[in-house]
Amino acid sequence: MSDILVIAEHRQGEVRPVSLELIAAAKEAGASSVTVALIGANAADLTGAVSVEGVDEIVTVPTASADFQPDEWKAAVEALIAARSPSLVMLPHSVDSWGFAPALGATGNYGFATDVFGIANEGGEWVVTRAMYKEKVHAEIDFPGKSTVVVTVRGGTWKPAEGSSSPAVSSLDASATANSSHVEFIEPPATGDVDITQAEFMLSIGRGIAEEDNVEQFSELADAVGATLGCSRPIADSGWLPKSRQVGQSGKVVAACKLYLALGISGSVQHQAGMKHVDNIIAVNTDPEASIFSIARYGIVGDIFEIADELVTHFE
Amino acid sequence: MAESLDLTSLIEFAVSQGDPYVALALHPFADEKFRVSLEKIIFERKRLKLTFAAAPYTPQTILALLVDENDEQLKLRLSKNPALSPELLTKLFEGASPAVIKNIAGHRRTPVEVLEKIEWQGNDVLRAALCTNSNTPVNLLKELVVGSSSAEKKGIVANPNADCELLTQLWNEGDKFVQGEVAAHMACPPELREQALQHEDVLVRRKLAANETLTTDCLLLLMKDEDPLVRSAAIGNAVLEDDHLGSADDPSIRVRRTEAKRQDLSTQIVDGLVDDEDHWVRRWVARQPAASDSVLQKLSQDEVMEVRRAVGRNRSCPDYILERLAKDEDSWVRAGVALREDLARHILVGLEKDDDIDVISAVGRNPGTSEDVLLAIAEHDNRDVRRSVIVNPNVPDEALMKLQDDPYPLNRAILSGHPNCLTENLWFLLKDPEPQVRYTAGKALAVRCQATA
Amino acid sequence: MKILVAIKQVANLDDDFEIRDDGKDVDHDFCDYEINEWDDYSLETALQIRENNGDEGEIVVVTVGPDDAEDELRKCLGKGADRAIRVWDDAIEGSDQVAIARILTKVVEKEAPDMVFMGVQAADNAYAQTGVAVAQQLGWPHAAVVNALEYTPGASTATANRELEGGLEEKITVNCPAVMTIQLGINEPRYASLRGIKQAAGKPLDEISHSDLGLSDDEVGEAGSVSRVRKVFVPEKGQAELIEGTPAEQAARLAEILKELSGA
Repeated sequence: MSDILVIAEHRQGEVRPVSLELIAAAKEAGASSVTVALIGANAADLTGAVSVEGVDEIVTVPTASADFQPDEWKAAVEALIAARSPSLVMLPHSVDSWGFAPALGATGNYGFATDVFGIANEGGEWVVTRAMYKEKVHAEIDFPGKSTVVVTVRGGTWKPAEGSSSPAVSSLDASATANSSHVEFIEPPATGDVDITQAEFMLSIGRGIAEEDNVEQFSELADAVGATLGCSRPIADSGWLPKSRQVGQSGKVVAACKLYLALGISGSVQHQAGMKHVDNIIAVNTDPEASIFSIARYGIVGDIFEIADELVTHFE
Repeated sequence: MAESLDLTSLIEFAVSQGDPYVALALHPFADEKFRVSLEKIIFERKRLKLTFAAAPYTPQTILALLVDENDEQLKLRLSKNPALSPELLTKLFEGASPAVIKNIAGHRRTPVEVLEKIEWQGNDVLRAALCTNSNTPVNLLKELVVGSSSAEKKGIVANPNADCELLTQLWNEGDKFVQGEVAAHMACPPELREQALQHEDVLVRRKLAANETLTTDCLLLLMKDEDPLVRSAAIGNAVLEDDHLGSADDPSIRVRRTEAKRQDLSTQIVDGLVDDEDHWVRRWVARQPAASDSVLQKLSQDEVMEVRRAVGRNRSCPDYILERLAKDEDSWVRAGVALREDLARHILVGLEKDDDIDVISAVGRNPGTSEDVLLAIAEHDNRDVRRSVIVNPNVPDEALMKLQDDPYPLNRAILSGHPNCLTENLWFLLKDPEPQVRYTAGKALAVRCQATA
Repeated sequence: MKILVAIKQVANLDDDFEIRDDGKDVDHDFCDYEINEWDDYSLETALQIRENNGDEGEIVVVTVGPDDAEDELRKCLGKGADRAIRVWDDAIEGSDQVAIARILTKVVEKEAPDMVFMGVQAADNAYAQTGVAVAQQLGWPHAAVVNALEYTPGASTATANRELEGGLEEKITVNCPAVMTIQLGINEPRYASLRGIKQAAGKPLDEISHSDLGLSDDEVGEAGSVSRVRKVFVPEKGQAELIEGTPAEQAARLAEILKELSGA
């Protein structure tokens, strides 16, 4: 009996896409039935958005607030579990989930794990996989003696479910005392010019540059490939590039970056602090042991000047 | 104690302090009777043995002891340690496991005698490591090339030890990328250069054009190549003398940029490029020492900020232009002026009052900056600005005394490693909360003690 | 005013490491330890609240961890915390975050602070769980992922911003006392002055066990947990895919990759 309950996430009137990833994950985990829950004052408006392939049933839980409120959502999930006895409850590993899911775990009533990217069922028992030690190791987690397990699921692991379905829709009551309330949403501010924290593609240079005169060559290369130029601390300290371009612990975290090309950077812990989260890191360094390679997706063990000379020939 | 440069006192201090990082730094300076005490401190915890086996800062004396421990986990880390000496690599090779041998095969300091003993036949991993190791001698390369894969050929062709015979074989057996590397190789034989000159692939011709052993005649031919990448490589070749340069009107931006980048361009070429529509060309030109005052004057008013900064960085830039650039609306331009060690005092005085952090950092580094200003910078709110004074040749002692107390660990680390650091600072930093600071201070102090002994 | 800040000593695993014989954890000889970077921010939040309160009030730091976790507590004392508590016992080994939270909850009940801060998550295992788990066990209001906070000690509410995905923020009002998990970037954490570090040696650091807090062995460790690590293993990937060939070839491949990944 592996009924799976997926708690959909929504914000500002729209279902968040990660919810569809969870539906796909539920199917892949071998659910005998998939129920999707929509929590909130206007949850009933969102049923269409989660009526995708694989969904057997939708339950709406109307609460006092239209927006996420942790106490209400926790009470809603508890009511859902009490009413449906799902064997597995899935939530996204997201900011809102961080606000209430651990409270479910702490009741002691259910098994609980976060940020899982592997879900398996072994003879009726759930076994999930998550990372530990800064992603260097993976761990298998199980939940002895728990008939319901609640997990938060890592986004971007499963492709979102598609298609359409006509699941039965019902509603459930749950009430709670809210200890906090939503005031307003605040959009991110528009940005000015060189703010490397907004750059999506960075080309960063490090000690391997050796001399100030060589900075120009890499500045030109960054231009040519369409990247924003950044640097490690020694370059900024020497005054070869402004401090606003420094990436790392004593510089900036390139929060919006998706592609980071590190040239002549060894990858000290301090530099990594500014960029290790980037999805696609490419490193060029003469030292094959440089720590940057352990966080990079692609690497070239080679001379940055030779590579730069060659690379620029491919871009107008 | 604060001013002491007595090595024995230093080592006795380390023994009583019991800190592994200070002990590590001092170990090579200690004589036999003290080494044993220091070793007890350094090797107290297994965790530290693992750390030190991998660390490039570990002294050879300690690395030698770690080699002797004969522990596989340690050997794996030692064999990858770039600082390991050829002698220790030789020792490590004796009875080494396959994983350790693999690391030794790729290690740049492994002596030739050891490389020649490695049994690489039928072992792809070892073959690959030996092909790319720049220490691998040519006779061994010639054995490796027999039946080599494309990837292995590429490793071999880049090896500086390759000779004409080997390069010819590689040219005949390799793809265009290999041929390109042959054409670029210093030992490329004349017959192959001829072939490269006529090669249909742009890659090979431009790699040839970058070869610094080419004759002028050959370069002149390549400068007329139909492909801008080839012309650019030829023009960028340092061996090409200035008199052979054209009139700076190549249609390709890439070629003009390369020309503008050349070391010490003549005034004539500079004049030809100063009005280029491409701002990169103008930036490079602005850095040319031969640029005349009127060229610099013109470029100092360029709309592109980086061009103006480049003028401020030009060795030959006259004061009257620097005066104006020191008041540029863009701080990065002003910072470039402030960074000049030769900056006239009357211009620097104005910059001392600037409040932009890049300008202040540059002022902090400038040997002409007044003592009062340096002291203020050493106490600046911005933690990254404060350390700029450490490298200043005229940094007052008082500023250094402030920096040893700096709450930002990086600033103390930089201080501990710099020659300007006072002996008094070093003794203080031996007790720093950060292990790297303690190590660096210990080493610097030991070196100074030894120098005065 | 009293603020309790819970911190964690996190492990940095070497690139070359071994797994323990029982397969349930790594060999800790291959770990370096440091304070959780989130904790710098939560401690700084507490320090700033006290500064704005006329420097009045007590800041207590607590951690659940073995002997060497004391280093991190001393660093917090060096920055200006007044008192530290370390809870440990062999029976606590194998605790998941629910069991850890149970221990911290007892400390909160004993200390009765006006606010409890901890980091959104720990840098090593990133559970993002402990703060809200403590709030649940205490029955306290809570807010997670706070990147801005307006709070006057003793007030019945506080205003906080939560950092949502994509740079969006949400402003909320929270009843107090509350548990808040603090996000990176909420402020600029200070470094301990060397004088502060010297003074820290003299500040109280209590070492207690879970039983001193009234918890039985069944309430901690594996018995007190709702999950169990049954095995750890090294995942297949984790190393960069090296681009081979001559530099010209490598650069050509790199150019392809850049064009593909930058969406050009």
